Amino acid sequence: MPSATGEHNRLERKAADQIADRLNCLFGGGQDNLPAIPSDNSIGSPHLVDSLDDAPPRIINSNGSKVIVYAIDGGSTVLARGGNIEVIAWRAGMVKFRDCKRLSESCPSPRVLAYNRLAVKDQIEELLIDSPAQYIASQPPAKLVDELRWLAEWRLIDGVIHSAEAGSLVLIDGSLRCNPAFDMKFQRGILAWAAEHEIHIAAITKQSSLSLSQNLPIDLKSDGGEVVADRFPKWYRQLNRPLPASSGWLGNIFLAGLHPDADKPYRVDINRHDETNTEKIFSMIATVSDDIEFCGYPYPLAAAHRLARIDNLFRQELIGVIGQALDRKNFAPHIWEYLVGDIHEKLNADMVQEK
Amino acid sequence: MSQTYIGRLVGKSVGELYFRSFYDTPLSIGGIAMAVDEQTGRKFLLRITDVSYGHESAEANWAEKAAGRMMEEDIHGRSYRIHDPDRRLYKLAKCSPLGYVYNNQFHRPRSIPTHFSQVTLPDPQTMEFLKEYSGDLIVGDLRCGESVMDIPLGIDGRSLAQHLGIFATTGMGKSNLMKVLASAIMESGRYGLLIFDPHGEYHDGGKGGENKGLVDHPAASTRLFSYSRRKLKGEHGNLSIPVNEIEIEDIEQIFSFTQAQREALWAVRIKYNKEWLRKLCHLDIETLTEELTAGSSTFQESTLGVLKRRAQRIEDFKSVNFDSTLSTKGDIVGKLQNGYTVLVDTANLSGAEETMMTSILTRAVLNSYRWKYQTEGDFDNLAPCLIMLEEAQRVLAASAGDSNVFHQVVREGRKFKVGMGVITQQPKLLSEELLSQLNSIFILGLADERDRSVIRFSAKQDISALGTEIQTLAAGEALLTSPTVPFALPLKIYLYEQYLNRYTGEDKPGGRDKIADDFF
Repeated sequence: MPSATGEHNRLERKAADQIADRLNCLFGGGQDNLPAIPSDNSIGSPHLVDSLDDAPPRIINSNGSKVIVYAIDGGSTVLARGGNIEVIAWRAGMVKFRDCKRLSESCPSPRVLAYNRLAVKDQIEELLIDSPAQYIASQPPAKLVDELRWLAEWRLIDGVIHSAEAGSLVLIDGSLRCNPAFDMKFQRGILAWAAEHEIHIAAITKQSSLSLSQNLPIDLKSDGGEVVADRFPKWYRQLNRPLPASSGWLGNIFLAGLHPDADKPYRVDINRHDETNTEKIFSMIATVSDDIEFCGYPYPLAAAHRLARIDNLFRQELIGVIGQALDRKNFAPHIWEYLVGDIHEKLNADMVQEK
Repeated sequence: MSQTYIGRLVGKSVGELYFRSFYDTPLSIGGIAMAVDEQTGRKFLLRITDVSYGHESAEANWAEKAAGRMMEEDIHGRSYRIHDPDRRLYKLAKCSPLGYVYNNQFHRPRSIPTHFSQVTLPDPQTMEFLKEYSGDLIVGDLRCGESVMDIPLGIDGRSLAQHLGIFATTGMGKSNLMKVLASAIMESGRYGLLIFDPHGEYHDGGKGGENKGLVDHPAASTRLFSYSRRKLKGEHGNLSIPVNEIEIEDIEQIFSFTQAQREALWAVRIKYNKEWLRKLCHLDIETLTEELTAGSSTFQESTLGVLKRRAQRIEDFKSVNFDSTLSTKGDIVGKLQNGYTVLVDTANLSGAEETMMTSILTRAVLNSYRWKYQTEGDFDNLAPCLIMLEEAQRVLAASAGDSNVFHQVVREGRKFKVGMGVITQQPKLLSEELLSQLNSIFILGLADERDRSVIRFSAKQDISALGTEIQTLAAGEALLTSPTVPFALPLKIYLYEQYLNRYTGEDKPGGRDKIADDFF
């Protein structure tokens, strides 16, 4: 005989499932990327050096080559959250550059998913069918939208390298550390294929969480660039020691000053399958890091970020569009109002102040 | 994307439109752009009146900050670039809508194109409508900013009698425009043109031999008649005016008279009739005093002495003689009425003599046309006549009053088919009333804001937004305002020397068809 509380929870969950199903009928799916086989995974240590003294700087000679550069970044947001229902949106975008000129760009409309947070685990198997990446986490992700955005980015990388010309550079926002929620074969396969076909892949982290000897994050260390700036206007230091082939750190980890006037050095991960081309890859990255507005940061990545992001204005627009669609389907408006209510309050905070 | 695609409309009203253009699209003030309304098919013509920078950064003062960073990098000799300039940078063009073209007809602008209409350079086919307004006296091609379209434009000869202005500072192409206009008039054979040339530049191009003159035009041998008191290249007549054809109004252009002197002058004029000036020169003061005394009324000897000295000065003028059979006045008037071009070269005359000759001949032309208008039936067959006056501010300045013959022509001439062509560097010196009488105005580069301002108020089109364009006109570039054109037309005036080349086949300025050999 179930307890009253248990029955109440069961009913609440059922209601949430129904709402999510109805919402997803409107969004036309979006769940096919959801992962399924839960299991734990540890990627181990990145085997960093103890101090920068152990990572001698090397000069970057940017040759100004006019190679094709692809830059990939993603954007995501939580559109609505109430009870166990969460409505999320995500996407990944790409820009293609050559010699400062944007050759093309692609950025789909955001995928939108409403889901019942209590039911993710039960739905995973169903949702992962056709996914190239195997979900191996044992627990549902704390932030599902981040995982879906990550997966969208890597699927886009996969697509780009198969259409890119040999010698191209693919820049990714973030790192080449594997995602513990997924089987690393997925990323490894991409990176190996790219190196084999002379497609160079590097990831740039805007703000690194790595640190040497429990000190400040590596990209905030004051001796990251200043000491060497006079002798090496553009430089890089390799921070990791040799990694075992099985490591979840899929790239060698560097700290790089990509322009003499850069605000700070950035962490750069370079595909370990492509490590013989490290010097050449840094030269290519530095060549696109001389934009006057983003000195020291690859401009194509800045452009990709702006292309794919879902900012507050866009999020507000999405919420409005979804609300209108729900109205047309006779969806009880008070439910949607309930889900997005707190966001409205935030959005309208300025109007309250004006009064 | 087509080479002619230059942007998209972004705002804002019937009277003022803006479009965004690419960062590297050359846009210049005075340029003509075309916004195509895809819904209606109307092609809106826009005149660019200002161009400004734009960028997409939301950061406050982004451009200033970026420039600061560039300067820093420059100082340290470090390289940098602007990536993705097509997306981040742009130009914003402010435009004055000229009107729209629909079914090859031009219409005044009363609406705006649809949002974000595509903006292109105007195509020659769309601009074909201008040919309807090109007039029969072609002087240049349509100018779009700094480029030129193969659309010949000019003025309607029938408007010559409604007066014409040519305003420009030195070196902007007044003389060149004058020669091209004179050539067009000679070629037409339908209009008389009287040119006073105080600088000796129109007949043979002037000193140096670098420039060509009207005498070099193939039509000159049959349609140009030059008069001078100096030796000129080619055939020309001797400028000669008998003393008995000089009137008081003519010498009032060169001397100031007191009331007493003026009364004495008129007494002499009444007493001796046509011989008044001769008598004033040759009779002694005592005789003059005696003969002019009527009852108790007499003139002081000192007054008559002043008049006599001035009369003797006139007598010394090179072009003044005492043989009444040697007058060129009648010849000149007759040729004008038959559609010829007459050039009066006054280069070696003193300023006073030149002014007096100009006054005598202008009055002769006006009186003759007026007389034929009032008395003869063949007035309709008279060729309209334009009198071109260089440095016109000398006799048409607001400060000089409005009673001289030049003002008479401006006020009354159009009725008698006599127009005044006013050439000056300083239109601000002319009276507003006079300026308002000028139907067609060629505006070349004018540096002085006061000059530009007075033209703005007198032009027949609204050119209030074109101040910067007028200021930045280069030599040979002009704006033509006239009631017979749909908007102030931007022109590139033909260079006279190239204009003449059409007859040798070396060049055909403006792409005009070669004039047939038997034209003349």
